[in-house]
Amino acid sequence: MKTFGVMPLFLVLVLLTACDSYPRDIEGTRDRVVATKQLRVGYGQMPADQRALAERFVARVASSSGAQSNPALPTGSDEALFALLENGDLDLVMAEVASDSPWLSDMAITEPMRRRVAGKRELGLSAVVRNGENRWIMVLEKQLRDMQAGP
Amino acid sequence: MTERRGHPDAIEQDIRAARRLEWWNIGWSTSIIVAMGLAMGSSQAMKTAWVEDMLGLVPPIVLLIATRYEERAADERFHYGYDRVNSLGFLVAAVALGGVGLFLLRDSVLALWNQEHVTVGSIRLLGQDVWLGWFMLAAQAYATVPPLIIGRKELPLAKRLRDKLLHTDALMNKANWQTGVAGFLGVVGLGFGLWWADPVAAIVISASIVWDAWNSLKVATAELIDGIPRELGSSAISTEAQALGDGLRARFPDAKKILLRETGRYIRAEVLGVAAPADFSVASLDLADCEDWRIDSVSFRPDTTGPKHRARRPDV
Repeated sequence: MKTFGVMPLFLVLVLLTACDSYPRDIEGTRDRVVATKQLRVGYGQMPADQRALAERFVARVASSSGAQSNPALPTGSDEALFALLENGDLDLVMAEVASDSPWLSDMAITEPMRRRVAGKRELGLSAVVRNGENRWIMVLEKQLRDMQAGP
Repeated sequence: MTERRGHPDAIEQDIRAARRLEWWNIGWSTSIIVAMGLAMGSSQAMKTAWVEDMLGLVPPIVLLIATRYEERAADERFHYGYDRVNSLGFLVAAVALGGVGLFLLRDSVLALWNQEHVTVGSIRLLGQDVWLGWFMLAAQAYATVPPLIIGRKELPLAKRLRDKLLHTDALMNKANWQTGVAGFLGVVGLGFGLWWADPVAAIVISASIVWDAWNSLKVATAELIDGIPRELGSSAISTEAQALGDGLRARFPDAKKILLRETGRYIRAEVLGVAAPADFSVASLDLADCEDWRIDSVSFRPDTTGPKHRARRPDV
């Protein structure tokens, strides 16, 4: 009954959840943000009210990680920002992503915090990070839910 | 004997037990498929294991259909009965298994080659943010238990019934629980930030699917082209066929050849160069290593000069 060999492993995993280090990021984004206290954010082009909401979200994420968001990074086209993100030059991109965007499979995109219709497409204001940064994504999702639940 | 209706008395009870087990198998497998489907997310290993679980339904369904057909007596259109429905189902299942296995193998190799990083998000449950990976691990852990138990119960039945389909199903259940463990480790590795753990687990799983399919295909093909009766899970001649061949040779030393083939779980023998004796019965042979029910028929072909007879056939 080799299956029972998995049981000790399972117990270790249960203990791991208690110490907040599981799951880990593949590229270590969250640890880097906490260690350097710098959150490198890129903002895509969006209307002012969306931008204000995005900045409020970023402020929450930064404060929960004991970091400051870096405002010196330029805004650019969404494509350029995603390329920087993919390369590890950004930790987070706030962008309006279409529900059928080809980036959906290449990036990890949170549930939209607000949606609007542009032409025939629906755009959702989302936090976009690199795929596989599972701890970092959990941090963002938690802040998103908290923001939507409360003030 | 092909004209019989129903299964031989000697195996009737085991057939019923096998059918009951397969109904349980289908029930448990369905619950696993639902649990895994709900939890799999974008994990390649989970997806691969899920497909394997779905394919795992094929052998039990085929067995349930085949045993029903086998019960039928020979009729106007099928003079030799329906004993080979089992083999046909077996071949179809093997081809399906191989195709899907290769497809999944390609997917997993590409995921590894492209260094795809798998994202697994979280869900808020009772005020707590819970990583979805935990649900994947729970589903994988659950998926290992039923195949482990059912596979172990199937093996002795398959041996008694000489049922290749049931035997394959037992092997498939073994592959399924091993898949569960591999998939579990893949998700655990992902949680530790090891991006390659998931595709590597998926490659191991899909390679095992392809291996199963290849072995099944060999056995099914051998039977459908009238190969010698084989041991379960092996290409060696079965000891029972060997015993029957030896028994017939001892009884008919003048026979030019003894030909053996397998039809489903039954053996058919042909004695060449000898006229059928009036008093012949299988029971009169001294067959310590071969159960009577396995021998479907022994026929005699006194004239071996026909164009179809090929001298290059080896003796058994």
